[in-house]
Amino acid sequence: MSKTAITAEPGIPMVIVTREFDAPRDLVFRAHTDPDLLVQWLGPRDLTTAVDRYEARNGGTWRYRQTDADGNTYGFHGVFHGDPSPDGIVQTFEFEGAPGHVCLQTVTLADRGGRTLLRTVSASPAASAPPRPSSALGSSTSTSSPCTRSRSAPADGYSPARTTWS
Amino acid sequence: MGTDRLSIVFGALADPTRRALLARLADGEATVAELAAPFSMSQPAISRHLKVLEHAGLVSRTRQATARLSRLEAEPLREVTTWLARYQRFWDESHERLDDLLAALQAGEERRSGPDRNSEGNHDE
Repeated sequence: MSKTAITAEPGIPMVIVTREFDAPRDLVFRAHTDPDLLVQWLGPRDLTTAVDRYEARNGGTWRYRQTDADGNTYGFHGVFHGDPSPDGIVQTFEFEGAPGHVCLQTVTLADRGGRTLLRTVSASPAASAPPRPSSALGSSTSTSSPCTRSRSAPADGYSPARTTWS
Repeated sequence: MGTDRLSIVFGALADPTRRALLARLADGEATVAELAAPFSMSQPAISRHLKVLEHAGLVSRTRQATARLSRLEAEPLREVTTWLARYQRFWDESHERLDDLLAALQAGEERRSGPDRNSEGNHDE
């Protein structure tokens, strides 16, 4: 179907993810705010997501855990700002493995004639780098999450790749 | 790669002249004069760009006789593409799953409300 586009502006700690879905806006919204639906799609297939709290209302808090095949568990939590609506789901996001690095995430859903354009903006004001998936940090496990900050370099020990430029 | 280094590499790549310099260095080592030749830019200006690339670890410089040669270092580029690939994978896979879920939900609602879609908006919670 449609392809996910990711934009990262160099020097600005912000990442924008866009994607169009063949579904009405209300349904895409529900998939983002109903925890029973959320766990069915958020994250790669090899991660299991369990929601502890998901209070999709102004001031409501949320927390979920993602577990990989080796049993490693990663917790995330945050707070909703304003009542979530298809015009905007605004929430803070914090990876519990890097406490204090709080990121602000805004999801907007635009009607495209029965289809829905999803746009997620993740900004991490305290960071000096784009918000990044935790898997880029160190472990080779796929614990990526949309807006987490790193502590260390990947330890994969790879050798320089041949790089082509166009 | 540490967060700051990733920022530095992205910053170094965010300039068309520096990307052109890297493209030239992909063909082999070069002196500042050789690098400056295709540009309408002074050698000191090219040197400043090289310094940014060197700081990001994208270029190393060696002295050979009287010439200073610049050489492409590909490792940071690989780290950047690895980072992007993982981020891309997280969302690609999430969104593929969301595609499937949305299709299943719509199929389910169609079955419940029957072929007459106008009967009533059957959105259950």
